[in-house]
Amino acid sequence: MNLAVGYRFWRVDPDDAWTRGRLQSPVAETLWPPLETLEAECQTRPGLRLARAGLHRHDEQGVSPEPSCSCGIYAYHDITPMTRALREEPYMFGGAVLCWGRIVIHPEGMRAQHARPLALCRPESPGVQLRTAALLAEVTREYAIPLLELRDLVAYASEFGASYKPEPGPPSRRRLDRVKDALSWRQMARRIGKAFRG
Amino acid sequence: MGFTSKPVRVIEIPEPASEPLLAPEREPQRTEREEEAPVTAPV
Repeated sequence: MNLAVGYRFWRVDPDDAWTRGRLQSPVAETLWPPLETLEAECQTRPGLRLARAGLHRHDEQGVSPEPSCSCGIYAYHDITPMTRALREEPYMFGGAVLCWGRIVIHPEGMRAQHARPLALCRPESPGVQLRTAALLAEVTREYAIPLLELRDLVAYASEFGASYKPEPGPPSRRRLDRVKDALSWRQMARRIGKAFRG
Repeated sequence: MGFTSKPVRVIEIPEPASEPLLAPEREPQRTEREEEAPVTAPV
């Protein structure tokens, strides 16, 4: 079975001496260990996100990600949602990850048990490139991963694994009925228009 | 990051036996020039 390839973004804080040069998850603030595998750990706590995590905490195996929880290492199936997020914050960088272990697959992405960064992509804006060149050089050196153009990222990542993006399901009966209704209203309006004109 | 939709599937991918960051090795591809090169007898 192929390892899973996904795309995500990280924050790298240039002003924090402790985390500088390290990839950090923007939500959970987990620091990704250089040259090592990151293992997911459920951080949901009672009173924080809970009801659902309460079930997880009593899971005998304690494996994260639990399908009914929100824990795990997140990655998108496609690069588009990743690039959208990059435009919002100046020190957010995108890249590809390789995942394995338990993988909970969602339509837009996956939550993984184990992950390692595969590559980072160069920011698209020349201004951001200039401002972050030294920082990105430091990060890629630390993690021993390449810094690639965005257009090359997917081809590079697919050398290591495969996408587990689910096939889109057939449109639901309800949606089909709505389309039928819309068409019939349009036909009726056309007939009325014709009757008035004729 | 966060997903708004419910999970559709859970899979288990075994841990890679070798270093996962090494791309699978490929057979070196012969170039046209190599294929067209005339075969010369050893002198």
